[in-house]
Amino acid sequence: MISAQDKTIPLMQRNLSEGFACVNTQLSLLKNQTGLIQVGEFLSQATQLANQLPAGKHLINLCENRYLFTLSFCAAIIKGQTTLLPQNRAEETQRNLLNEYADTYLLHDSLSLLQESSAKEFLPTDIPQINLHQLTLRKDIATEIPMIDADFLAAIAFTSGSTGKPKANKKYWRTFAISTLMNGSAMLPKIDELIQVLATVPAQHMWGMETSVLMPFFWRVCVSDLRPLFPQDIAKSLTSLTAPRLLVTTPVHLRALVNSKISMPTCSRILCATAPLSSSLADEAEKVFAGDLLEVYGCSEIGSTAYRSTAKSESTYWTLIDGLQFTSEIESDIVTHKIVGDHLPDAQLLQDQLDIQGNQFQLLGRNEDMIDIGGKRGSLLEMNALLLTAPGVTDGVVFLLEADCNKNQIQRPAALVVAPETSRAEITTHFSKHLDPVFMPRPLVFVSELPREENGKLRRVRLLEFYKNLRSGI
Amino acid sequence: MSVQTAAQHEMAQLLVEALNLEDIAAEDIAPDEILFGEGLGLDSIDALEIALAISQKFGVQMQADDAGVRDAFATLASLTDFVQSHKK
Repeated sequence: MISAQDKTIPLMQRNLSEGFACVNTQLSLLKNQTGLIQVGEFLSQATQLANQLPAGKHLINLCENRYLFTLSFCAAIIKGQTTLLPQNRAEETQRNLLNEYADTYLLHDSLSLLQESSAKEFLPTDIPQINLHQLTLRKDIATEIPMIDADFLAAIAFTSGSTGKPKANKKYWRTFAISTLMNGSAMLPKIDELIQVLATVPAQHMWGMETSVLMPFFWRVCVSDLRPLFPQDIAKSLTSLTAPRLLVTTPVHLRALVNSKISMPTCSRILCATAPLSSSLADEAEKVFAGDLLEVYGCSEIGSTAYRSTAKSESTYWTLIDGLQFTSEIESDIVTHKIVGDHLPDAQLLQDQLDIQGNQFQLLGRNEDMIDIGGKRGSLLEMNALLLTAPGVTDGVVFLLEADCNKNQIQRPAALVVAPETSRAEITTHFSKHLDPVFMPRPLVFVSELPREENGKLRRVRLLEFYKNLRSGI
Repeated sequence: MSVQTAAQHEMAQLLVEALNLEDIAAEDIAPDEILFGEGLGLDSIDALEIALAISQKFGVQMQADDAGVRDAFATLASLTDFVQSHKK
């Protein structure tokens, strides 16, 4: 039994002859071998890869393929190197990380260096980098599972911070191992067969990391390397897996899936997170997949935190994952609720306002600054600061319009800009250098001035009214 | 900048509606303007929205491993051509 007090924790807790991953993509690293990869095979590959990694303290793992990402993440742990998980793939983000974390190299699976491709990915050329497509591993099976120092810093997950400087969330092996044990217990269906997992979310973000990268280290799941986007592709990818299946997704993907009316293979469990899900969509999704949907609430600091059966439950209460607890702190007569767990380095404050009842809670309001689009978290304050530094911008504001919850549509930040001499393209380019494209303000409207009050304040009510008049005037 | 055909205009309207591109008029999208990344600056979530709107309006299901879908999303013109040739 693994506990948070252990000095060392095994790298995994699996039977070596069981399935670990389903590889559908031909990968030169694996000599194009596709199909089921056993735990022992994976472990042997990770150990071989660890021996081929360059010296260094940190690495940025940019692998797009989920299997290659997982393999590299595991190899880095074996070699004792910390994986940096940038909040986006923008050029400035990587530059800043490289400046701040000395002795870092880049690991990627970009094909564009090997063959003609339209990918215009930014890869800095002045630091050591390793392209997995240029290596090969021999076929072998590991017989032993290594022990890892529980205090080893396995990863630093960066999230957008209000100050514009990303927040570094430290993930020790203890944290990852114990939270994965907790997550599996809360999220996986209680069945004896090996569960095959498909995720529509990227491996680099915490939701995808927890469910599609870490889960097979401690639970009897086998994860597909695919990340399908369109409903037809998701149906096909699921069909290639053997039941019982599990789908890891977001409300954005679910909405497209349900509305496409394409018939889907059964999934015993659907896990959905990153944005609020309506109970009607949850209900439809359960019908489409003939399985149970569990909605998960979490944040990068803690990881998955709570869950609920959104389709069946009349209640809007979330249940904390077993192993996490609320703690109240009183400072200057103000009560704040934080979450603690034996495996977490610190007590963590949740971003949202909560109403707490025992180990259950209700969300009263979302934090106004942080917004989440397709599993990516961004800060409005950061976007505002960025807008104002764009060339030629004299004034401007990035804000959220009032949400229409019933439409289940993704809410994008909107922007009003005062920049008489600047073109839309110049602002777009400025944003794309610093931020993930999903946070590009939309609409971005040029105005002659903002509805500021005499003291310079910009009130939300006035801003929304101004915007409404502006739109109806067109 | 070339002028939109009737089919391209219909597709441009679909894009503007599906993506809430309130600040862009359908007729302002040039047939050969790059839709993703630079140019209009669309992303994968948009691709999903567009695919959904196309399946609802034209009954054409986009799928990434279909040869040509990646290229189809390049411009208004290529997207229109792809849908026209796959329409039932």
